Amino acid sequence: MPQFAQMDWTNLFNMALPWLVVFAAAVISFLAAALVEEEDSLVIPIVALAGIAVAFAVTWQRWLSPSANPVIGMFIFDRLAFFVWLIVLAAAAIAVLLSIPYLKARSFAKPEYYGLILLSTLGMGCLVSAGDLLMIYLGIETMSLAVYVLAGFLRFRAASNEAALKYFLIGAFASAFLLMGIAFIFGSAGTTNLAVLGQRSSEILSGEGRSFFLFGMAMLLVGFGFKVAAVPFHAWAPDVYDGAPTPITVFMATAVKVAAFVAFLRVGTSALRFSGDLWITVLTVGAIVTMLVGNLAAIVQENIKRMLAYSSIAHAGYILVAFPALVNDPQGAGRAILFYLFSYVLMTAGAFAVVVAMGLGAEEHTAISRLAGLGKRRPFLAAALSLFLLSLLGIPPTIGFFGKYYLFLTAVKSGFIWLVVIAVINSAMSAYYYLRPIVVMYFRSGEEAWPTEPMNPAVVAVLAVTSISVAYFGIFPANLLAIVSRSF
Amino acid sequence: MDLIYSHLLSSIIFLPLAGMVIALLIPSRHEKAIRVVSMLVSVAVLVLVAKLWGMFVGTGEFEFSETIPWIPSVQIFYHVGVDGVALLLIALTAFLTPIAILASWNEITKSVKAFHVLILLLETGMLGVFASLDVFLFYVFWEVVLIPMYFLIGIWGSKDRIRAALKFFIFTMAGSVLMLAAILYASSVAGGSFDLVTWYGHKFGLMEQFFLFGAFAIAFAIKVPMVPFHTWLPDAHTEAPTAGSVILAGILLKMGTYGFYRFAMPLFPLAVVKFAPLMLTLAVIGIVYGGLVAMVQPDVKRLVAYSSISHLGFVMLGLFSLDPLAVQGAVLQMVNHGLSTGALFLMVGMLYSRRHTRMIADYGGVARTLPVLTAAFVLITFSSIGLPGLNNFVGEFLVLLGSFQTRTAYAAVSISGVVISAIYMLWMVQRVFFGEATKEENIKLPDLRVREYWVLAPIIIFIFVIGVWPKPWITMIEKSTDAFLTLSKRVEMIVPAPVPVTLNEVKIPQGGE
Repeated sequence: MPQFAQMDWTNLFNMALPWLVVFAAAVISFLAAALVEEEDSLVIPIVALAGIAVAFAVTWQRWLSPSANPVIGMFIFDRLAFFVWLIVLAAAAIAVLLSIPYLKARSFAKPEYYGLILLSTLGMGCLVSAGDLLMIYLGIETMSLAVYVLAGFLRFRAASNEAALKYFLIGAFASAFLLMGIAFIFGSAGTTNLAVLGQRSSEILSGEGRSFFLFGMAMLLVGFGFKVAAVPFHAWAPDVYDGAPTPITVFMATAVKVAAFVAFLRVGTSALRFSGDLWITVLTVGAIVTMLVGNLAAIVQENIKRMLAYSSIAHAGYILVAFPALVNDPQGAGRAILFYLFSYVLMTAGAFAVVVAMGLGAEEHTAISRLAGLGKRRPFLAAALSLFLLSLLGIPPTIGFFGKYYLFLTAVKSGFIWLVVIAVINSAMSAYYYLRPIVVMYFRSGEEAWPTEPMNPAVVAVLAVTSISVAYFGIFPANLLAIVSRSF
Repeated sequence: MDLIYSHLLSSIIFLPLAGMVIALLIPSRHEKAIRVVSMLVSVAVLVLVAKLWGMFVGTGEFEFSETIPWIPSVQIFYHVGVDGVALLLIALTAFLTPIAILASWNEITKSVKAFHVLILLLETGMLGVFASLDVFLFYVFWEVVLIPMYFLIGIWGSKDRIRAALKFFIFTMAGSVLMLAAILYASSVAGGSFDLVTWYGHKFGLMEQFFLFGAFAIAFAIKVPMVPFHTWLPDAHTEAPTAGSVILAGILLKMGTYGFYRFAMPLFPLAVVKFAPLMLTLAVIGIVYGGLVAMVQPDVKRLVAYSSISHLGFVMLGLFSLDPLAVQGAVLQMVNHGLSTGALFLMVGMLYSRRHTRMIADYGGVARTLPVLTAAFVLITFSSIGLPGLNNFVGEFLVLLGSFQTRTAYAAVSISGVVISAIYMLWMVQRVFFGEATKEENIKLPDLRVREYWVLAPIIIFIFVIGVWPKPWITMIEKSTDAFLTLSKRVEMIVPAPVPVTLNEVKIPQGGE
């Protein structure tokens, strides 16, 4: 690799500053863990939040004035990386905020928890700025290792242990696929650099390395399929989402998914899209199956965490609808995917925040029937959950509607009209399960007593930010759209 | 004030939304204040609509047009404007909403605040649907209407409300997502624009028109509803609270017929030629079938609900006959049905609040105890079955007169619908109001209260006004329906239907939009 020889270390340091800030915050929070006496001290989460906030500000500043030459070694510090990293940071901040009351309610605030979140976030940073298959692999591993631990953090709960073990085994399996795919691609192309792969793929595909290259790509797809929980590699998601502590579920459903999708997007726009019809067929089938399985399975769920898990599978399917369009219209499809990822993070995080608020009592309340009468007793909480669910369903004027609309529009423009018809029918199907919590909250009167203590300020903050954004960007998406357009 | 007058249409659309915010800010224990505020706001909307009506010229073009860039990077604009038909439906909306609020004054006692917030949100949605000239904007308003109505049925409805609300939602949603796919496709072939006027001028290909018309038509046919998509309607109407039924029957169903009038037919004239026999057949089936099923209903509210299917069949018959008189009759019939069926639902609500039953068998002989209510009910019944001198007669007569010229066979069968409606309505009135009062509960019932006079009087006045002097109403919509016909008959003028034509042979007439 000739790049390494001429690498400019000051430049790297300058560009990667937001990443390093998060790393520093992680280190500080691990060290502080040794000094802080009481377990539920607010010091560590505040350190974590401060680190995230500084990183956010620096990243935003980098986004505003991007470097003319963003490629440094295996990294690409372009606007895409900065924008997605902003989303990831926001999701991490939401996870930290939700964790404070959640862990306190369970008297299980261990100091290393927040450091692990930060380390995982750092892994995502590598993932979203990866310009090389090896960096993608490293990013995914860094991200996942921390999440394996976090998923099983409530070690006194059997479900949490099960979640961690399942996630770890499946994750290791997926990493193996990914690594094997990278090996095959390297074997056929002689490089793992995405830009070079993009330039050379048509040449490789017409040469004798074709079958190895395609096999490598297929393995890569399997690996990403596991990470974004696309059918048929989704089976782990409901159990893991259900068993993990709810703030970690939020983290997995939002940040992990976004980072994995963006890495997938980078691979897609550079190398995969030249694989032609094969890539279109595989992704079309994948999108249809993912939407169908996610929506059908969500209908029968009685547990809101599991329901949201299946719903997030379905949403992965909607996002996949735009992937075949990357072949003809990489820019349009990329923007639509980015916009959707942003809106998906907002509404999913918001919906899970309500679940966290439900579970702040002595035990986890995740049965949908437990929501009965919420509309009367906690009108704001119920209204917020309704807003998020309607946004997930894609009812205007919420951000979920515009995101979906934009996604499907790009697919239609590239000629995938039948795929979109199937997607909108799926969307109508999802009405059934998204409306169920609303029915229970408003149309049935509940007998069970709800904790009447005032809402936790951290949860209130998360709910306020997400619900206002869902409504505001739903009605006035123009500014957000401009940011997204400049990022891709 | 100047700002309001210069953006009169937008002010009308968003005034209810402002009222909703005010209602949200009032603490929920001040129920009376919330009722008064929402009443005042809806009356203010009515006043502004009256002002709009006064300034309306009736050129057949879109008037009071406003265009503001909304999401310009994807060519989405906030573009509103009205022609005569849209204005008529806006007026109907503004007219029925305060009546619905007044009718709920004593009926709605739980979650008063939420109820009025939703009614006002609903009003904004409905007004927006009728005023939108940007298809994306139209879709947004179309979906906005869905949510408050879902809650109105689900929270304040009667026994089986949850199932009815869900059925209503899923049916409508299924139709509208297909419409969304069609909108996306149509805009991508029309150069990315969502402007309706641009779409009117675009030549969609033959197969494109078939598919697009199909998707739009399913969405609208569910809303109208046309047989076989009607099954949500009896449940939703029956379970909804009185105000919900009034708005549902009076305005929401008109969104479907308006959709045909504004979008499905003028945009895809080739498909109209192709599908007209099917649509007309469904309309006629709806007229006869709705009437026959209404006849055997034991529940008054369900009977009125099925009668809506029959009445809306006449509207569809009129639209697809593509005859000037029939189309004018169809548009007038949209308003007439809103008035008379709205009034019927109001009075069923009044009966229910006295006797707490909707079963015909539980009544009998209440005419003696409720003379005024009976008189009003009989009057509305006459209106509903199309007695000359009342509003429905004008509309139905025009529809039949017009459709006899172009679609004789369909019109001939539809006539039976008029007879059937007389049978089921009069039979119901006879069983409910006349005869011996055999049940003890029916002997002592209070007659109309002052508030109820106020609820019914405006509707009854307009029933007479339209029935006796229909000319000004027709004049108002004449130019608009002519423009509609020019657009929708773009094929027939060139090539005798139904020979398949390619679009190259079709000329876009210059006079239209």
